[in-house]
Amino acid sequence: MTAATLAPERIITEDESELLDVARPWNVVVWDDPINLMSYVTFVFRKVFGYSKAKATRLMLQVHNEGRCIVSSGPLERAEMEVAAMHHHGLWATLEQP
Amino acid sequence: MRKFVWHDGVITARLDEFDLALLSAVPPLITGVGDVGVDPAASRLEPAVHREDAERSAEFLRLSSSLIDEGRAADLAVFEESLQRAADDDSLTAAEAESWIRVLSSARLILGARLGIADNDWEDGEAVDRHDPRALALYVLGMLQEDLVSALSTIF
Repeated sequence: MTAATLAPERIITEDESELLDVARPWNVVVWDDPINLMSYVTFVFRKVFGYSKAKATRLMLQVHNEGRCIVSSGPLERAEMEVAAMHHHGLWATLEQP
Repeated sequence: MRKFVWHDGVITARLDEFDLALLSAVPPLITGVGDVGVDPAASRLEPAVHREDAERSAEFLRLSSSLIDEGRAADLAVFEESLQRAADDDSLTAAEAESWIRVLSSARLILGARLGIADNDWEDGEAVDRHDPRALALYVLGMLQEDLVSALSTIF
């Protein structure tokens, strides 16, 4: 058991603001399209992201029902690689930094 | 009857003459895609990555399009080589089948873009002319892709 500590006040200093901007994660968004098969989209999510069949299916259904879904989130370079992989597979994907 | 079945370490293809003729027409369809702004298929294969930042999207495309193009060209080479073999001895490896499903996706996206398909219910609605041979090709290539994804999903 650890001793209780006082919660530090959340202060963002000027020198941290650049770091926070750089480290703010990017979202990979996949959009619904009328051509790609639901089974194919699920397969691509499993293959590219290593998701379980259940998670890949849930994300695919969110794309289908809501028109879009955030399928991954992380540093820009990785997100760009993932978007490129989506495009290689024919999925319509974009990048967003919330 | 499923067109592709996973069995004993390979995918067995049960393709008839119509399937083979249709699949043979896929490579020229893909290599014949025109320029962005002229051919609607082009922008669908290379969509803008930053929806509200055209300059940044263009930069991404400049850096990544050769990588994606190389991947697509490699898939197409595998597809053409293994299509001939699938016609002769009916078998595909899993790696070949993965190239096939990407090639089939590209082919269907090209056809869908040129047919102007924008709604999920295009197969039921009146928006697409059922007598347009591209609509039939889109449908049949979709069935082939569905069976191939199903066969791959059993081993993945």
